[in-house]
Amino acid sequence: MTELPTFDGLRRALWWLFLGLAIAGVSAAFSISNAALLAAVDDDDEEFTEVTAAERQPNPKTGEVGPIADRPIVAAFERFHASDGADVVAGGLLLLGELNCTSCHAADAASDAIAVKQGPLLGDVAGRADVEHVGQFIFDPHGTKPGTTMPSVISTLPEAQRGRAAEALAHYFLSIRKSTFALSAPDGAAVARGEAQFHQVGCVACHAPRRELTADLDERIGVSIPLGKLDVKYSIASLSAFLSDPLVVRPSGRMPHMALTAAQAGDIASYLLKDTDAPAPLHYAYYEGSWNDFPDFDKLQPVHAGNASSFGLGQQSRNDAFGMRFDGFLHVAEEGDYQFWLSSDDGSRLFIDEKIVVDHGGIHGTTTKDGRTRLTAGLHPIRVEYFEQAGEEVLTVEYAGPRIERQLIPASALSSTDKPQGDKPTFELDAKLAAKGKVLFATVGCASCHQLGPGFELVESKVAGPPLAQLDATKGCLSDPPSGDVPHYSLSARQRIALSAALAAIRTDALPKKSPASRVHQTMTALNCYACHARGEIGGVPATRNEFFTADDKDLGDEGRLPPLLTGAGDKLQDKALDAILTSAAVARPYMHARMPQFGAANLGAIAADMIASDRVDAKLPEVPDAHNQARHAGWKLVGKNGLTCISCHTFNQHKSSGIQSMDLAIMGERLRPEWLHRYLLEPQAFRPGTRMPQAWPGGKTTRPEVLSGDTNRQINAVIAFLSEGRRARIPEGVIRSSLELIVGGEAVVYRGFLDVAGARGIAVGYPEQVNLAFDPVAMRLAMLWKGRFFDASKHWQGRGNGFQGPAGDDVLRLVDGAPLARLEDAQKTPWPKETGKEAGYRFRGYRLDALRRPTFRYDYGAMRVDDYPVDQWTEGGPVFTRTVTLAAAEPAQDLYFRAAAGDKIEKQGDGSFVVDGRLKLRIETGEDAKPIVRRVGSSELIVPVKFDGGKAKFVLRYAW
Amino acid sequence: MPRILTSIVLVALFAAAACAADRPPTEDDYYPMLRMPIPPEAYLEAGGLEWLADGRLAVCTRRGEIWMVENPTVAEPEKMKFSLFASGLHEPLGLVERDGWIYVTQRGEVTRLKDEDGDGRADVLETVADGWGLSGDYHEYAFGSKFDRDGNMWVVLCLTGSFTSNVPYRGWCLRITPDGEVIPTCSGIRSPGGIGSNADGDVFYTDNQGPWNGTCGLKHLRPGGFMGHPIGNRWYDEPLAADAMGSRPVEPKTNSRIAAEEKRVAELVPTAVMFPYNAMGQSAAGIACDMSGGKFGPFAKQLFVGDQTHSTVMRVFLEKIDGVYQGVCFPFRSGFGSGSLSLQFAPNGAMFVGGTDRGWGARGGKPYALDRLDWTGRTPFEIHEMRAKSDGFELTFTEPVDTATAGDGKSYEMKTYTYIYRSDYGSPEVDHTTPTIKEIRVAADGRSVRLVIDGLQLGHVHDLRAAGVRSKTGLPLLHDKSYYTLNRIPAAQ
Repeated sequence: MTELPTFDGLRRALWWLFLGLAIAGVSAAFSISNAALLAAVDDDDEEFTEVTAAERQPNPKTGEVGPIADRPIVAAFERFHASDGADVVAGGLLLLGELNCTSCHAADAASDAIAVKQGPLLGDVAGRADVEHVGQFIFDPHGTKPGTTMPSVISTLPEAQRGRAAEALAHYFLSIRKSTFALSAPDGAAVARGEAQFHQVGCVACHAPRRELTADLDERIGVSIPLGKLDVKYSIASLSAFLSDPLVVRPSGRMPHMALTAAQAGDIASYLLKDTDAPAPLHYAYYEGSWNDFPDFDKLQPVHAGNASSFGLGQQSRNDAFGMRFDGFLHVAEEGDYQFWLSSDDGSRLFIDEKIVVDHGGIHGTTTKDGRTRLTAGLHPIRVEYFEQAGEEVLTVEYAGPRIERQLIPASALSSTDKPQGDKPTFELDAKLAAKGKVLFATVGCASCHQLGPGFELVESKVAGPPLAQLDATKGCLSDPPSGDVPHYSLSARQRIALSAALAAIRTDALPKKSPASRVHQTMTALNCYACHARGEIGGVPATRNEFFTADDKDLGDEGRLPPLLTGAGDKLQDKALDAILTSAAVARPYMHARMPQFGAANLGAIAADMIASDRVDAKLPEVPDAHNQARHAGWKLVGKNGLTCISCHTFNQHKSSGIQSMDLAIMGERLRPEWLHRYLLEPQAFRPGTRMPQAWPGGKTTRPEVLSGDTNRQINAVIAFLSEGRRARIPEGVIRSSLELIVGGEAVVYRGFLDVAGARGIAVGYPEQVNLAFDPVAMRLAMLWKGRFFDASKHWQGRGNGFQGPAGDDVLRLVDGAPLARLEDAQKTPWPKETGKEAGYRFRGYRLDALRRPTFRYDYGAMRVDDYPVDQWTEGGPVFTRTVTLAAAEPAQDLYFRAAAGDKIEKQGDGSFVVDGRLKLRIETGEDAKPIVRRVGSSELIVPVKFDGGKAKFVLRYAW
Repeated sequence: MPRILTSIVLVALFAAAACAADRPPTEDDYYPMLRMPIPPEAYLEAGGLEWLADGRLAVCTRRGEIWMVENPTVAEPEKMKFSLFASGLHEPLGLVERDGWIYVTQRGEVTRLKDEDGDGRADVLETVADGWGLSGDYHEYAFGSKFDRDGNMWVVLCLTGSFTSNVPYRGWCLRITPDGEVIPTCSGIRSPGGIGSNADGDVFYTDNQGPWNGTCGLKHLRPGGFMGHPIGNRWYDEPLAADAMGSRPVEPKTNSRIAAEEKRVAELVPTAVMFPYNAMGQSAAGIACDMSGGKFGPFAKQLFVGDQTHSTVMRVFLEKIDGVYQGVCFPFRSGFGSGSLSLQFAPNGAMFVGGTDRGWGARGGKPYALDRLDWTGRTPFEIHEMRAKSDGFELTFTEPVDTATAGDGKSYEMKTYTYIYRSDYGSPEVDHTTPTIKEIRVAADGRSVRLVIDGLQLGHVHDLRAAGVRSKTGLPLLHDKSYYTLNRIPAAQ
């Protein structure tokens, strides 16, 4: 047997070589001669001692960066035990569990100190993985999946036998589970969604990110658990099933359940397998642009392109102003007449054999068009083009033909290639080989770590080594190279040192004493909890992964996006809450994108009890004289806007705060222990360094002396009593806005704020005669009139005051949009200009108030000064507005018009007034030479010629509605 | 006169003796606080304050009103009178008087108001300038300054949100000329809490913890400068900005440090004083400079900065090294009635502090308040100034120190840290170091102490606790914590 050289460069070369063989589907790879292998890599004798720039480029297939790992990657070992001065005994104990040494070597007295990682269940492996890949992996685990913790158990066999053995094991797996494994191409939209999910739900806490980082790349090399070449191992369906509940096949919990929905699992699987070498039903290309009819897609650069599983939308990055082109081949089983239907909004068309069959172009709502063509049996190029300008977007493509009823064209009738499918040799089950494999499974050591799983027979491993306490650390698996008939782990020097140190400690009975705290640490190390959480001085999201931890609202800061500090977690959380987080995926931070993984109760051991035993501080709540009901009431007041205003930042029972949405106060009671909460409220910083949670009792003193005699302990007790009510608690003051209606008396009331229709700078005025208006000081227009109640300022005057507010009253009338004045060359035909505000030459100058505090709005239009003075007036028919508009100019403008109204229909009445859209009655008083004009340019408009006399012009409009 | 003086001295001596004997002195012993008697009809969420030429105090409120306070400095609250001058303004946060006009900065414009008919209420409201966008997000606050030496008002505009600038000049400082013209002056603003000048007339504003602001800080609005948050830099393309500000700065790198990015981004103005988060406050707000010439005590020409969350006022001493401002902050006074937002000195040395806790809670506990600080005439024992030296710091004191304790290394503790300069919200304290105080030299007059330090850290807060230092009369420092932001190390003299 020739020992493989262990330096990196050769190993990488081998890996790529095997990759090529695997892709080519050459099952004979197992028996390729070692000499040929070595010859192929002979000239690649460069040693890689440093990371070169080229190696920092992510591997296009795996996304992994940096040198190929040359050792089994155990994340916590790499992070905490692989540097100089690290605790080597603890590191070795970790490896003894993660490399499953104890499956051959009894741990005996040391078993408490080792968290054993069980290998994946293999009964179903032929159903979820490509058996060829499985064989390849057994043949050369470290070359096939660099960094794997699986040892080579057949490495001592001669080369040729090794290939046969791996093949036999693959056949064995196939014999116990018929392969239904089939590759499929991922859908482009699913890939995009999966990429986002993969990088935000927490996958990249343990696995390498697969897209560009802003952080330095070097640091993520070691701590990433390698994924290997997923796209030659899994299909989308099988990986998706795995991700939905990884514990089914990997009961060790090292790959935890991430609480993914089936759709999310499918998306992530699609993303991870985006380079799967399987033909997709269709190719799509996505374009952006606003078109009234089909653009020449050939001349456009697609924004993105990829595989599509059917004709239809879903790949687009935005919902307006885009186009799509789908290309593929239609598989026609029988010659005959075929009919095609396109339903779309906006335009679509269909080509077959490069000839147009259905043309449904132009801008339109969802309508259907069809076309017919005769097709021969075989493959026909098919193309659908589609574009969307604005509004709804719809595209469906149906067909019917001989023995095919009208239906959506199914994926099975489409292919993105015209190359014949299915010529890849299938892996035919060889019963003799399988029987050999069955023997090997028990005899070479597979069964030491792997079981087949529920529903399969129990296989007993025939391999056993001496107990850990009797091992010679210079021999066997641990010698370099491994000596004798032992599994090859490809251990690094540091790993050997650590394992030796751990074995020495076991041998000499010098293992560190276990305590609840050390057991928590042991579990958190084995399950890599430290990748997300810090506890004490250890762990937490490393700087290189920080940017992948995000939240719905960036304003929540680090507390919203980074998993919480676990220091003192057993003190903080109630028993039930701790249990719910660990075993029921309880979500306390809905805004945080990273999920709390579920590791399986068996793998967590007694972590909850140990956290409690290690963390709980023996602190009693201070005695207070208040009965629960009294305390609860005071707590209600303290939490609300007239107390400590907790509700400024915290959601309350799903009612949003007016600021950020910090953790819901209604779940605090069931989560937090009162004994902890009392101390936390006194000094939040001591428990969560850097928190934005303010110290409500600075220096232990109250800031609300009026509540419960200003006694700090009684107040904190009150808050806790109130929170203990949970979702049944009475809603605190300030959570739901109360009305702050502005009442108009004998004088007008002006209100300025974010107003509906009148805009962010809007000015609302309520008048004594119970009519109201809103003026837009950007466009200089009277925007809205209404009657009755004026305005409710509560939205703006409570909390932070976000959002636009409309009138409080009724009979709301929106007035004409756009600029009030314009020069028109032709009073009948020139369209009213679209420009408004500063762009059109306007400048707001403010307002003056009359004796009843009614404003005259003042603005400039070019060199003209305009005064706009609406007043309320009581008439027999009810209240009206009389609006006097005055213009002053040194050089009066010619052809100047004022637009009084616009609408669908403007009718002149017998009394000289106008009725706009049957609702507004408008009377206009002007000079004889400036009679209002009704014109139709697009819509109907009522315009008033502005005639100057001595540098002044004036007209009066009376609004009744 | 001599008799009055004597009695003041006696009272002071008596009080000092009483303090030393009975209990450690408190802030109340030197700067007692008077809660102004706000009438129930005034919901006085004070966004801006101004001392008027006629001796009244003007207050603009977040609910859009302007109230006048007559006799604001008298001892007897019942002699004060509040009257409504204007209403219907849009969340104004800046108030200043000139030539009989009251200038107010609303969200969308600077407006000047006048009472022409003499009924005590404004009847003319003229728009002076509205050359910036307002899209309708609550973050879009506008803080207006007093007039600068050229008669300009400076307006700092909050971003649209923490991470967005949707309309022109959100995240900028604009100068408004006396003619109402708008001059873009600084970019890079996130979320201001106040604006004000130092004694030399240079303008500063406070910015708040959030993206590109690891903690709250006081920043110098150097014309042409970029204050740190790059999202508003899209407006460099606006014609006015192009004229006034030149080309757009290079983008700062996230997850860096200000001291490092200063070298890449030429326009980046380092934060003059970082306010350590939680230690000094959580929401830096209004700024006022003591120009009373000693009527407010020993801190003439120093800056006072409110903190809304903690309901406090901090004290700031600034120095300019190689053209860059830096300096130190000290706790000054706590216990204001609501969240300290607006600060204003009266010519007699009284300091007015207006507050609100709406939307962002405050320790003070009241939804709004207006408080007055008066100096009793007794000098608190405080670090007066802290100056950077080539090899350490120099501390000066308001009273002579006890040579033994001030010269003892055990009287001082120093650590340093800084904050990540990054696009994410806020930052923890990072890069902690512990410098060594190698030598302590107490001046012969006991008024100053030189700390010779090994391990000064550029770009770090130098967090100094001088708990052991005693005055000559045996008093501890009223506030023994100070935080110096070291942007530049001065050359040896």
